[in-house]
Amino acid sequence: MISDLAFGKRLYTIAVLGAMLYCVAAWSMGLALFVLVIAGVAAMLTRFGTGTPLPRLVINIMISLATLWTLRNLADGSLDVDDFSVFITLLVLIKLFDMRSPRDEAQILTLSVFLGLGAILTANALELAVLLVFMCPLLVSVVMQHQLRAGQWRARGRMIDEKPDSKRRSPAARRDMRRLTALVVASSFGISVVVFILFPRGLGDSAFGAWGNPAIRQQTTGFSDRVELGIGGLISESHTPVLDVQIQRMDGTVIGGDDDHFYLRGAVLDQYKHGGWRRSNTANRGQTPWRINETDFKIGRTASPDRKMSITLRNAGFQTHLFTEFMPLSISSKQGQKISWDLQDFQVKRKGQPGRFVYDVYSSTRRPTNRRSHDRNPVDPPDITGLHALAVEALGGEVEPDPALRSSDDDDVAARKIERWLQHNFTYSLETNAAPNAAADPTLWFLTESREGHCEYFASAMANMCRSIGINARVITGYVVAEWNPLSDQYVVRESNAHAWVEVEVGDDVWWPYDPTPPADLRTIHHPEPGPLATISSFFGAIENGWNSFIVGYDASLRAGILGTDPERPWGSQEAAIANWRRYKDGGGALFIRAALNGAIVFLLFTLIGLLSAVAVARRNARREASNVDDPKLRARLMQVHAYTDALESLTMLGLPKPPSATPLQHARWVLDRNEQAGTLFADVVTLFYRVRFGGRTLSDDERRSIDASAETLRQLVR
Amino acid sequence: MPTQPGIDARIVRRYHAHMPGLLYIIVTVFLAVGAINGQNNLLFWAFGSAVGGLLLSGIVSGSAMMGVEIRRTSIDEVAAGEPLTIEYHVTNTNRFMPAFGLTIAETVRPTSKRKRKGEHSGQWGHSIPRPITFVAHAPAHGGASARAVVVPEHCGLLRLDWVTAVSSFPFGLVRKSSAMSRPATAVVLPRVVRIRPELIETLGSAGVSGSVTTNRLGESEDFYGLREYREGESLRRIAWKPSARAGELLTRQFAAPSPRRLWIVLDVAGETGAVDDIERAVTLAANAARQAHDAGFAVGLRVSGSPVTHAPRTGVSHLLNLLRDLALVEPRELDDRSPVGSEDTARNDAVMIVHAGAPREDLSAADTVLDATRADQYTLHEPAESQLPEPARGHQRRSSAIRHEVIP
Repeated sequence: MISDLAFGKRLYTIAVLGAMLYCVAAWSMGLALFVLVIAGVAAMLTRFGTGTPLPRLVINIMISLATLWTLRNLADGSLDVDDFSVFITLLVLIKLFDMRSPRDEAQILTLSVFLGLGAILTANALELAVLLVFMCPLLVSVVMQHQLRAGQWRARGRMIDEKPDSKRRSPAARRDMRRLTALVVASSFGISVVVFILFPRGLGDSAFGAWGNPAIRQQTTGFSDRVELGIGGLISESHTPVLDVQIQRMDGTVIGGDDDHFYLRGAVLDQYKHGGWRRSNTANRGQTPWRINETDFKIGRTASPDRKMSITLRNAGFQTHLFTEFMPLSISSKQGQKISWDLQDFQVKRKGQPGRFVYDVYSSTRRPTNRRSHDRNPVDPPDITGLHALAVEALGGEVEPDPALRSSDDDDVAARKIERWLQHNFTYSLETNAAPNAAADPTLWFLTESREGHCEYFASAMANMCRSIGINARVITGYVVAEWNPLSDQYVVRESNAHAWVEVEVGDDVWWPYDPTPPADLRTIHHPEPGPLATISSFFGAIENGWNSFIVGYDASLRAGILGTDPERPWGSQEAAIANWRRYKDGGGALFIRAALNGAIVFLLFTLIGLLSAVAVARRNARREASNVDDPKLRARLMQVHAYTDALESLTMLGLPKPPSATPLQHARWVLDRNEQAGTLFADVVTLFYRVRFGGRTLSDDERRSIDASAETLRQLVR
Repeated sequence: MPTQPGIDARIVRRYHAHMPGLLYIIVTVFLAVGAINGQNNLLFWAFGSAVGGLLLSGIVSGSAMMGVEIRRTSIDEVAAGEPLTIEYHVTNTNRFMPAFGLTIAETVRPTSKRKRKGEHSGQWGHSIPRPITFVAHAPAHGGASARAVVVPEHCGLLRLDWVTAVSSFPFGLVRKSSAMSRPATAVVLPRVVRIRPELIETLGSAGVSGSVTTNRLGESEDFYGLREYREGESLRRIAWKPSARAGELLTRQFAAPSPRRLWIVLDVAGETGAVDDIERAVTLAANAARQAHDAGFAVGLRVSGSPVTHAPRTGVSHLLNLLRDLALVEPRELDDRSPVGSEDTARNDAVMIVHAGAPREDLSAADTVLDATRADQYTLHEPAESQLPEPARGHQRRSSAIRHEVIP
């Protein structure tokens, strides 16, 4: 139906799009560049598959190399979706050099579809959806064209004396193909929507192991559960989203704005050694065992929460930190997971299927009283010479530096003093030089020589300074929540929002967060600059949030909301059937009626749209035909070309009747194939007929004589 | 002439499972399992799309095939070894749904008797490749034409029975076929070969011309008629007495001499030899008839052991009748006990006997005897013209074959 070259280009596009799907999902730009280069070479060498393919030996060697490469990866570990997808990508690229028959085309199409599936298994990013929107209609069109080519190729192999006529294009056929493609794409989209909505969620989760639940994006970086100071380099400014947060008061009011920011604590690091902070040995800590499949985890002390954070981790690893606001009281999640938390510092960890994870954190932001009823807990003083003096300097003589002489109520004041001293006297910088002397303590080097650094230096300095004057302190790593999206009523947290701050013990097991990073720099780094770019970013962020919430995050409760069913009872299960029957008997018939009505409404809507479209198209076509018949001027012009009708009659008598579906020109070509003389004469007639019928003009005397003569000669042929 | 005993309205529609569809179903099931296991919503969507594709594949192909009707519009009459063209016209009676990707093929439908030679029962793979063609697009409420070209290797009766349209459009998952009963027959004429010209030329002295007065103008001595004199003509032709009576000069016209008469006797009754020998005998007889006709003979045919007898005549249509009867010769149907010879043979007629190794006829009565088992001695190994004789005036003709309309 279309030329070989046009089909080849479309097939190449599908192959490249399939590979790009996976590259986007895996965020592998190197692979994407490789694909584009190789596809370009293949297109040049083989002219999009219409030229000579590479020799079989070369193809076999390439396939062997790809297989060995994959087996090598298998030897290093297990074969996962990434390895398999890369292997298929290589196969697709090799097949681009080996297009000899429709079977090769079918293989490329099939492998491209598998690449799409591999991409879906890898990540569910919005960019993937955009690519799929472009790829699916093209894929449908190419598959349908391929079927025609395959059938023609098979039949041609058994016919003789038939010249391939791949360049002949019929406008009617192209129009029908376009319409059919649109109908198929729209219908399959509608069916997929219905299946997507109706299919129950929550059944069979991980029944066959932990696979198939991809991240929204690839593994995130930025957050670290260790702090290593003294190493030069640049802190990541990556804008890759990590998680989404919606903050609510307990009455459901959403909290948010451009001026607010919050802290999500991840790792609690309480041991400073060799210029770095890490978590002390958990064997001595009060860590709870892994709690399985509970929906509500009571963490903190008994208190009523005043804030709820709904957090969506876009890509939680198998075992990862859960980020909470200080002070977390409880966590709830509808996804079956194992959660464990530290009984002392409430660091929370999660173990379960990697991928997207949604949970709610209930926390209390009210500052507890910092009265002490007993002596301070022992403090592990830092082994850094000169730190105490700096702490005394920071206190400015307003607070007693000796813990034995200082009131415990003043610990909070002392911590505040140190925090402000650091904020006002040091410079924040994302880029840091390495400490010149490896033996020197990096915190001391920051405080005495460099006087500039990133948040980890500030946090380490404050924590060490507090400890030097007998105040317990620890470094917290996590994220700053500051980028507010008014369109989605959520905050977006990115890799660049990773942050470090300090928690200080200000009372009996009472800890409070302090952030020594200069506030102006904190704002500059974590709050996006207002302007048109921020607005556009918010817009796309809202779209992405909608994608994540309603498509990627479509779950049983959303489904229940649409269908009006009970989210606790999956539709279709025996238990649900019994429960629903009981509910119906108890007067819950309205539930079923509503669900049935919802389904019927959706079905009828789609049917109505389809019927209205068909009626509109049919009426438009009928109007076109009717307008031609009723046109008196056209009728008058057509009277001049009665020779065309005579010619048709002559052809019928010669056994060459014109079928109704063929245009005059198509029929002239067809006649020419069978009878050159008759075809030439009829072509002359048709040429002039077209001028009258479609060109809107009358014939000159010479033209009229010419058309009559051609028709007469045709008549003579019959005799 | 090809026959069309009547179109049977039977249409058999079927769905066929094939490997791509089965693989597709397996992958769809895998998608469902993966979606349920991982609760991956995009996999649910992919599963829904796969289900949609399967449903639409069946609906589109099924609804398109429901309105498809096929008829043969023409079957060429060709000689063995020449391309035989069968033309089809596909009509799509669907109101909205166009039909795409139709493979049209003749379907195997064995006849009740399996013929040894000559009759092609549609058991493709033996004497005629299976005709198959492809229609890319048949618009809704419209039609399309296509043709299949095959090369029959043997002469005989070609029986066509059912025509099948198969389509796996749009996705190749489901194959739907629609078989229509369209019985028709055609004759494949004997292969065209070049016989040594001297075999025909020697017959020239045997068949005496001029023994019969013809009703055509010519230069024989037989009086034909009178017409007015034209300037420049020979004065010897003027008929003086009739001219005096008529008052104007009239000249005599004379009839054409009668052509030489040749009887070709095919003697294969009771032959138990190789099928190829019998076919060679038929081929020799046919080409002898053709070349003798071209040489101006009035050619007649007698098939020993059968009532097939054609008195010597001239004319293309007569020749074609001879060729058809030769093509339809079946030795098993010949009566090897029937008397030999014929009373129709005139004394001056030339006789050529063609046999396949076991003649029954009296060979001494023949002017020329051709033994098909030694056919190489009679034929020239140069490419023969692959054309049948030019038709006489009044006959319609297309390309190099005589086409017979097979339109109900």
